[in-house]
Parts: sequence; structure tokens; C-alpha cells
Amino acid sequence: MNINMKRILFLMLLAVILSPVFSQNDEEKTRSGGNDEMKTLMGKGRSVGGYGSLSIAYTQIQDRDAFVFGAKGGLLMGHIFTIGLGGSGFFNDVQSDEATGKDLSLAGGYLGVFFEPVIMPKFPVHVSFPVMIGAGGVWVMSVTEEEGDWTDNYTSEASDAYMVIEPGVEIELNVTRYFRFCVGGYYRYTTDVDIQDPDISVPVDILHGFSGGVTFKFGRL
Amino acid sequence: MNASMKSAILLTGLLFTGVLCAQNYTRDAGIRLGDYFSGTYRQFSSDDEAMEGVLFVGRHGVTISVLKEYFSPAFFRFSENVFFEYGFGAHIGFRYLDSYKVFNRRYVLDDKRFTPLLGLDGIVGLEYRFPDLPVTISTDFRPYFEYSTIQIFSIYLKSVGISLKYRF
Repeated sequence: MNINMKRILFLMLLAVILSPVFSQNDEEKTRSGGNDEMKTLMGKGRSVGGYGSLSIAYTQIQDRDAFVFGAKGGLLMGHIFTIGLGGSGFFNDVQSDEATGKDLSLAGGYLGVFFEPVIMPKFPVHVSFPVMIGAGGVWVMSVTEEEGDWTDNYTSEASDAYMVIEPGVEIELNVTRYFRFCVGGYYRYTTDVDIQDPDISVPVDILHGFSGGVTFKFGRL
Repeated sequence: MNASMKSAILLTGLLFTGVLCAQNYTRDAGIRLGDYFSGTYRQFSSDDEAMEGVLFVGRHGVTISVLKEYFSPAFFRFSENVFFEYGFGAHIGFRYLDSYKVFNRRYVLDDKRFTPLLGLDGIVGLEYRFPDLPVTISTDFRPYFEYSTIQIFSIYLKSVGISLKYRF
């Protein structure tokens, strides 16, 4: 074997042996996060991002108690900015309507994209400012109770579509690397809701209003 | 070819063999039973990452999901074959229905209607890989939300199931 061939074989062996070693170093750096480590209430941090969340909030629609339940999935970039898809569904209390003589309730939902800057995400308690922009629908539902059944039947009387923007502020708690608990307040602003039923009176700004609730975020935060 | 060259080639070969042996678990397929029936196919890209395709039949429709899944050893002190799995993904599909429920409210439509679906999924679960059999059993929770033309937006949190998969 000449010297060149020996050198080539030596370099090949060196490359094969060292490549896992370098990989290990990179992996260790990524896992430890170096000085960039997330500060959490429990456990250590991780630097890559993305999460799914579930939320429930209280609001008032048509001066009646209402609940908004939502979900989101987003890509978290550098711990400080999330972009993703989300949506919410809502319904309010049933109330008897004098004009129609029916028990009516509003129900609907909206979906869209959301953006969420996060301020000081590595602190155990910090703040984020989610904004959702999208579109949705609202239905005026009449209710008929089923005897002997916990489930009531809801039938659509009228409906309309709208655009929505919903900015908010959330106080976030880094409970673990993979779980955040948030308490937030939001304002829902929609384009005019035009329910075209002469018997049903619904203001065009029926869906405008504040809401407050909690959000549970799971993922690589 | 002289002896030293043969030795070097043999050594290189052995190193690559080690790499190949580490990649001994590449795919599986099976069924998932729980709230509804699903068929699944999973392709591992490394020991702790996989992509899974799921055909879901139920809730008055059919959906196809693609999930990115991650695995890490769970209860390692007790068993090397139990893995914690988690991941995320998306689904598309359709439904054909005349009513839907939100909590204890049943929303009744005038007639049966078709709606396309688009949703995002999460998955978290535990998996046991039988050491002496090409079989995997797991239990998981797969929450998802989806957009549709009928309900606009819905969240589904009842998807809990047990999967049985054949490794090959």
C-alpha cells in the first residue's frame, strides 16, 4: 500500500469515527441550550418551538352570559413570536323572545390566523399579545327541549357571516418546558352582523365585546 | 490487496454495519380502536422520530391525517421498551351529516349536508414495543380542532384509543 492510499484510508476512517462525535456535541449544545436556557417553574428548557392550545373564556353576547372555547396551533420562532391557525366557537344563554314566542340563543364560530409576540418568554411569568384575524358565522337558534333527555335541539332561524379581529393580552406561566398556563383578556371586533329576519332583532355590533379566560398551551415552548 | 488495506476496509465496513444495525426499526402498520376506527401506517426517520398517516372513519365522515411524532424512553428504569410519544399534524376530509353536538346542545340542520374539513391535530401517548415480537401496542390521546363549512369551528377532545401495529 503506497503512502497516498494509506492517507486516504486514514482520512476516511477519521471522518467516519469523528462524525458521530461532532453530532453528539451539536446535540448536546442543542439540548442544553447553553446560556440561552429557558427559565421555567419546573424542569429545564428547550429552544425549538411550536405549540397547540385549548382555551375557554367568559363573555357577554346580547347582554347574556356566553362562553367562548378555542384552540390554536402555531409555530413559535425564537421563543418570541408565534404564527399559526386557530379558531373559536361560542354560544350564549337561551332566552325567551317576545316577538317570535320562541326560546332563542346565539351560536357561532370564527377561524383565522393568529400572531403572538411574546415579551421576555424565558421568565417564568411573562406577557404575550395574541391577535387573531379571520372570519366566521353566527346563527340565531331556536331551542326545543327533549323530554327525558339532557340534550336540547337547536334549529337555525337566521344567520350571517362576518370578519373578525381579536387582539388580547395574556399573562403566561412557564409551568414546564412543555406546558404553559395563561390568563388573558381579549376584545372581539367584527364587521356588521346583518340578520335578515324581520321578527328577530339583533344589533349589528352584537358580537363586539370583551372576554376573559384561561388558555392551556402544550408543545415545545 | 495487502493485509493492512484489507484490515482498513474491514474496519470501515464494521463501522457502517453498526450504523445500519442501529436503524433496525423503520416502519409499522396497524389499527387503532377507541372512539372510532382508524388504520395507520408509520415510517420512522430515526429511532425517535416518525411520520404517521392515519385513515379515520367515523363521525359521519372520513379524514386522512399526517402526524409528525417524537419518541423518548419512558419508565426506563423498569423497561427499555416503553416509550412516551408526542407530536402534531394536520388532517383533511369530509363529513355528511344532518346534526352535530356541542356539549349538551344538538344543532339540527334542515337536511343532510356535505362539508369539507381541514384541521390540526396533537398526539400524546405511551407505546410498548414487544422485544421478541414484531408488534407494538400503544394508547394515545389525539385532540384536534377543525374548520368546516357547517360548524365553522369545532374542537374534539374525545379521541382516546388503543393501537396495535405490526413492525416490518
